[in-house]
Amino acid sequence: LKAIAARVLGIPAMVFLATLPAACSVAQGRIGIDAPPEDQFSVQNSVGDYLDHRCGSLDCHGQPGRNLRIWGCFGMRLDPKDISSCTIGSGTAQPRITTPDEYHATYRSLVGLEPAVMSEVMQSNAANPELLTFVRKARGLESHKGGRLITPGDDQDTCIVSWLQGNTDMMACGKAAFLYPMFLAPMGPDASTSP
Amino acid sequence: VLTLTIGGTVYAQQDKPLPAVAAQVQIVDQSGHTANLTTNPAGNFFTTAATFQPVYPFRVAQVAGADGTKVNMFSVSNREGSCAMCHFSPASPISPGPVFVLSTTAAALRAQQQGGMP
Repeated sequence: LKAIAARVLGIPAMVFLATLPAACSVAQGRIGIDAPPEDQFSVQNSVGDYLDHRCGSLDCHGQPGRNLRIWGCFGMRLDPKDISSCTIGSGTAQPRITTPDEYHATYRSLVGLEPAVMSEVMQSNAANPELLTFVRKARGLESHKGGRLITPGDDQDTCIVSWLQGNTDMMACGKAAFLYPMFLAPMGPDASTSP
Repeated sequence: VLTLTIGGTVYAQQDKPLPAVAAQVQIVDQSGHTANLTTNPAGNFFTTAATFQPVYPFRVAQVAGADGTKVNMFSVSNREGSCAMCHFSPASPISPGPVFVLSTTAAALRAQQQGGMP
């Protein structure tokens, strides 16, 4: 009985499969998404650097197993011959900085995370950026292992939202990447131990 | 039970398994609090829950060798207190390698200036 049922069910399945190529042939064109500008992402002290420095550390999104992967000299490198380190370079030493390929890879990683939602956000000029999961997680509106990182209106948030609006606030991005208490703190002896 | 909050090992020189004894390690956390630590004879340093509970992210602002050589870490740790989770050997696209005070290049230069071998 099972063999008969399989044959009966198999005929419509074969007909369906035979018509599939014709049905799909209309969708052969390249599919694109509306995405924020890459040229405002991939320059120094912009969105790419902010994400690399703040989110792309090796203990967070600078890991190959993450769904939002971030590449750069502060974390995971794209070139298998490179090492995770940033240096300005001195004397004969070559500087080790985030490469154009790494900016590009991170850009694609981010805008391709939720392509349909990204398009929707772009079409509304980022009126509701929290439709994007990465914004919700960073704002603490959704569970995030790294916790709440940004507050609407602060430099980090301004950096991201202005980029989504297509007019990146470079000053905010630069400040977001480096001007943290831990970079400004006076070197006071709060706790001293000798193991 | 001793609960460690941050811990790591500092080596005296890149690519050499010699500990950096009595190196000074300064850690600054998100709230601006600092922890000033000294490595033990094995090159290890750590903080405990009783002495320092960092507000993440934190940054190792400076590691200074006993001879005064200083290195800085510019990236931050967002949630990992174990330095070796990221700083493991060998250096690779997913690790800067072990923490050291003196790079191989700097050690060679220093030896050259002193007229000896590194």
